[in-house]
Amino acid sequence: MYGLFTGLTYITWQQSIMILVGGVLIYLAIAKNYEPILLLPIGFGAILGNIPFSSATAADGPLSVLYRVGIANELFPVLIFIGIGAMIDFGPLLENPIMMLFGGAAQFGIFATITIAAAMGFTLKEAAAIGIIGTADGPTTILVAARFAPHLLGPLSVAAYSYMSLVPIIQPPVIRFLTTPAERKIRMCYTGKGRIPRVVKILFPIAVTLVAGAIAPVSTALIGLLMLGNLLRESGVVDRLSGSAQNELANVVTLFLGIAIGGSMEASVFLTARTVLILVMGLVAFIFDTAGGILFAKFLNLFLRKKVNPMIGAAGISAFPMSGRLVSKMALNEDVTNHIIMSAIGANVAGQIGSVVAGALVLSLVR
Amino acid sequence: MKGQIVHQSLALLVQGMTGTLLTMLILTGLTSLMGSIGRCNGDTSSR
Repeated sequence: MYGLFTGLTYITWQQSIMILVGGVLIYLAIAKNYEPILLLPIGFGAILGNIPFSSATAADGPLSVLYRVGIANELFPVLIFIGIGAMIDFGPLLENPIMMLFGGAAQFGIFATITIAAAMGFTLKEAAAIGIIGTADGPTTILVAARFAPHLLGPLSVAAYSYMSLVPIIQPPVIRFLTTPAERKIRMCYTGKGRIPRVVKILFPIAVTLVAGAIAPVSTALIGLLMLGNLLRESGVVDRLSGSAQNELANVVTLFLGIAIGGSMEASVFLTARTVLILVMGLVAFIFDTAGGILFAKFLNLFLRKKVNPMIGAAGISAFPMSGRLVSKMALNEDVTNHIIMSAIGANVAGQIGSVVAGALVLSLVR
Repeated sequence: MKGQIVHQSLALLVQGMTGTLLTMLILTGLTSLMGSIGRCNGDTSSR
């Protein structure tokens, strides 16, 4: 009988709490629909990783192997970018290129949060990993965290994915605080005259890869695989590959990524005051992202003859398509005839590129 | 030590935001150019 029930007799209260945390994540995923694709496997991984003497997280256990082959070497987050690229239609951005700037401005939360986290006593690398939650981009967050602060990977991932699902709750108060009703009613001229030719949609991912790679070579893996996915989609000749990237590849890698991160959430690392601070900092990052985008739009309005609706700036974060839809809905709430969905989605798509560029810059600037 | 880290993070704030906005500005120009070329071309087969 020796060996049976050891999980029960050796369990510590910290491990019990972590199993409870795993249960809460599973609950949020199933009952509240908060990013279930990732929070569910993370929650179950946390349970697997906190059962005493668990074979799942032993030295050669499946979760440990997945961590080594997919997270420690940053492979999984980069692979997910192929799937994301295959899901994105850059059409709204090509038709309204100025939206690209909002995708850059709304990354302000990353750098502001790094400064705040550094002031709170985190090392620069830890602060950078915390600030990167502000990319509102799970794979980029995981990639930077795995390199700069692997010991914080669990709380960082949970914070990133939780806040992405909470965008409809986090952004509206910030938008209302920083804009007037008159500004929220500004119409965005969308003529639909763009009619982007197929050849441009094919050349766009190649050109962006070359330009971004030339400016920040460290971004080549991220931007390159994102754009490869998009090229698969737009080429029109590899529908099977495009479909596989969007579905099988993205789903399988997300599953592996989730349980491997969950398995790394050991009580000794997760149950600390720092986890609470990281969760708070993640929220701060999203708030500053939103504020950065809005204030940048208002700044542009000082010079533009035809004003932009400042809410568009808030859509420049990478949480796609939640942020674009939210901003569009808020504009409709102010004026039922004000349709800014295409501009908002354009800014939101730009946020996908902006978050990767900002993540790459953090990787190259922090030593 | 802490002051030095905060100083570095402030430098990162300036460099990071400048770099991000500059890159996005260059990409705006590139996107604009490609959009214009596409419209002149008149091929609307993707729509």
